[in-house]
Amino acid sequence: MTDRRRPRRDEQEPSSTPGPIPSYELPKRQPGRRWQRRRIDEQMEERSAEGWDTPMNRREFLDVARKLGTGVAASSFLYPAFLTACGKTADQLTPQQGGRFNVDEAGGGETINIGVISIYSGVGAFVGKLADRGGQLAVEQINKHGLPAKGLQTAKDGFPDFEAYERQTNGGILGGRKIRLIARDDNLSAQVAVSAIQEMITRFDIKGLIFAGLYDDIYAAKKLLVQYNLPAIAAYGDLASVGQLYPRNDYRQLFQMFPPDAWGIEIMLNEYALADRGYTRFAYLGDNTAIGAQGKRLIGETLAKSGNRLLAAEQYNVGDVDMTAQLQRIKGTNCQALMVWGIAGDTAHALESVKRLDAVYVDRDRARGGGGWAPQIIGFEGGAAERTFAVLAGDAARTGTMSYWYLGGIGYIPQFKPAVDTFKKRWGVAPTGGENNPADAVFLFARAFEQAGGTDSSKVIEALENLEGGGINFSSITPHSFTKDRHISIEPADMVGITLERGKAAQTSPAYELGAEFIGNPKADPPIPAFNPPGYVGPTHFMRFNQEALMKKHQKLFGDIMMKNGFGTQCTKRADSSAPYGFRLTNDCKIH
Amino acid sequence: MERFLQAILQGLTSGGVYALIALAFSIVYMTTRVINFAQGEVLMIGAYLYFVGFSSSGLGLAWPIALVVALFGAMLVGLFVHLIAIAPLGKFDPNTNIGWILTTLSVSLILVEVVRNVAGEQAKRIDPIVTSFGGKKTIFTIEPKQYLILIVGVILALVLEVVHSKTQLGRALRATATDKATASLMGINTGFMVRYSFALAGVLGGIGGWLLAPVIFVDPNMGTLVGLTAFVAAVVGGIGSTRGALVGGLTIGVVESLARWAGAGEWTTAMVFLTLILILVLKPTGILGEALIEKV
Repeated sequence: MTDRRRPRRDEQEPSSTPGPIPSYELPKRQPGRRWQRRRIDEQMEERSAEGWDTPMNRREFLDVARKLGTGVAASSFLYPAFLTACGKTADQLTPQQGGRFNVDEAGGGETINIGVISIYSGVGAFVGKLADRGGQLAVEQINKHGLPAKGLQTAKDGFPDFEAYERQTNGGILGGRKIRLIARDDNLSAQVAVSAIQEMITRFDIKGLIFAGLYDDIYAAKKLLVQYNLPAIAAYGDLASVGQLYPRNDYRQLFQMFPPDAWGIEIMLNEYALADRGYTRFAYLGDNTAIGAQGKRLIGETLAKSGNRLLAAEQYNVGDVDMTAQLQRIKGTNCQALMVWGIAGDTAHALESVKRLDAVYVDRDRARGGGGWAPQIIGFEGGAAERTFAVLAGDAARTGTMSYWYLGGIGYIPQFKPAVDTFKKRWGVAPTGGENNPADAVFLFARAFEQAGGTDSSKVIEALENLEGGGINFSSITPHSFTKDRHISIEPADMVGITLERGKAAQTSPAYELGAEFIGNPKADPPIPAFNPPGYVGPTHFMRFNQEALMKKHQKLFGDIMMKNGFGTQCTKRADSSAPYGFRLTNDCKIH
Repeated sequence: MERFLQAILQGLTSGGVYALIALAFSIVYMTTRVINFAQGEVLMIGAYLYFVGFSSSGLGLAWPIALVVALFGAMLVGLFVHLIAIAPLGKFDPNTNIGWILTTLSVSLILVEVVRNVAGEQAKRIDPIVTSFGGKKTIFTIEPKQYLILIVGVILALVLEVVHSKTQLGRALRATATDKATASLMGINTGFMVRYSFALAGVLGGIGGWLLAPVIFVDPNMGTLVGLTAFVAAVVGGIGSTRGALVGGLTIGVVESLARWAGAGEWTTAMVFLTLILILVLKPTGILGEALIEKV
């Protein structure tokens, strides 16, 4: 018999929670209280995203309270008090922490939202800071000055004319529409990233997406991006190395700016370690993420092509402190080059462990087996090429630690000083490297929107594949552009070597020349003052690496400026009147 | 064999910090029957305070002065945790009212956020106070800063064991732990004993931060995993037992180290929790824990 009794209130099925309403919902003529409440919430969220410091709205509060309980909710109310005590306000915070970018100049037509997915918490939070600072500066520049007028990018002897650009007053794009960044934390989880992207699409109707977080985010978001046909630029992240970049698959929405590990590893091993240094024994120590796995695979494959192999491959967990156990096993192989694949902090711990084993790199001859195990370190670009690594590792990070990058934002070149000054003026600190990619990603989107005449995703993707004017190089030295058959904005001829220097040239015979950015160059005309403060420890360009290709593609920058004026580690020079600048770089240096 | 012994010693040194923090967990548990999940963050703040005091980019104080400042600050943070997370709950039975889990967790999240916003996300390096054994070579590749952790950890555990078993203060603490109401009737200021346990836990966290900072770098998240692992160590050793905290800390350190020695570095976390499960199955009260007998 059917129970026809009306269910008691506590037996009733809970009504389904209404989903977020789109912001374009039209006002009702006679709105109910519930609708009004939702509308207020929606407006608060929008105002908050526009930079207004709104209180936590009801929906956000309920979400938090439901997930974490009253304890956390109560703490959330206390949070502003703590911030006030620490002299901070909400708009100074990263997006993960509930802060919002300052877009108070936004206005004049419908704003175009661009999503950013990055790492704002935990060990990789410095990445989010790079994405914020670079991306937001580009947004502010575009909203204030618009896109650079034709020819401005190369107006100053091939370099951008920043002064002329800052005199432009036609802010915004597409007739004055402003750009706004909506940033979300991936919490080091691709699943979180996908949810955040879904939210950015449905709530903020983003017209483009910048990946600046985990590599895995890019793979995980593919289905979503294809479904919405949303154009995305990977400021950091590498699909090219695993053959997942269009046209090798159907992920046409994705464009890559990041230098592929495959190129870096290939040049690093073939050109440097094997041919230049003459190493034959290699070992690997990497983290347990996609970075480590990809590095290990690519290193193995590259070595196999030349008939070599990894003699040992050891792994550590992200955040591990002591790798001596793994290194003791590696030591047994007596390797000459140790490939360390992980982020800056972990790479620093790895090198401290190397130091603990009394095996720090001295020079090439020692690495090749002269007097005990002391391999040369070759590291991942996001680890050994970072200044953070050099600072954390202290003297365990020796001069001659090698990595790779691409000819991007070179802050110490005089021609690029205005860009650095603009950055300093906005953020109070000099760029640390890596901010240029998110900045140029914003410029690329802006140029594509302009060229597409709107934000229609198909047209924007087409525009990105056919950017007029040679692409974008306003925050970077390498012009970023794509074609239909090339969804990566750089080429192998843009790859540069990175090496670590410790303020002054290490003693070696024959001697090598340390870059003008460290020591200045009084012989240059006009004389070049040192860019780095005395005792500065950090990465610099290594001029012998990929030299031929760089000279062909970037003769002005690499040859006429960097080589001639002595920027970057210049290695050992030999006078040669037949060489372009009266000298040639040799591989006599024992350290590099 | 040398590598095996090296791994054991390595594990004991890292276990020293777990033991210190496990001690802090145990002391708070003794008086309140709650687990202070913000203990790892107290360690983190201790490390930051020491960094600010000691580093040349900070105040540039001599290390003993910087340490005293850090310990005092960590003690205040310990008291602050009690003030914010436990005191407002009033009188409650920790076995049935689990609000303290949320409040201590909330405070830990707040502390991380505050430090992240004040000091930034960037990790900081601190130079150790001892860097060599006077030029002498040792058999094992362990640095003086790592030995220091083990030595300080063991000494502190022993001192606390003596204090808590032989002194009036220790007896008052144990009386509070056994029966707060009766202890109060006997003239013991149980409120003070609770605050004392939080302050002491704060100091222990500060010492942990001071010892750990030169080894793992200082960053806002440094205390989270250490805190969690130390909690496991406290349970493994027997929560509420000073000796148990020491044994648990060293055990967990050795388990982690042996996993790496065996080439299973990526399984260290799993090994730690497997050990926990194993101990809980074989001896639910932990290695040195004693079953609580309630008279009815």
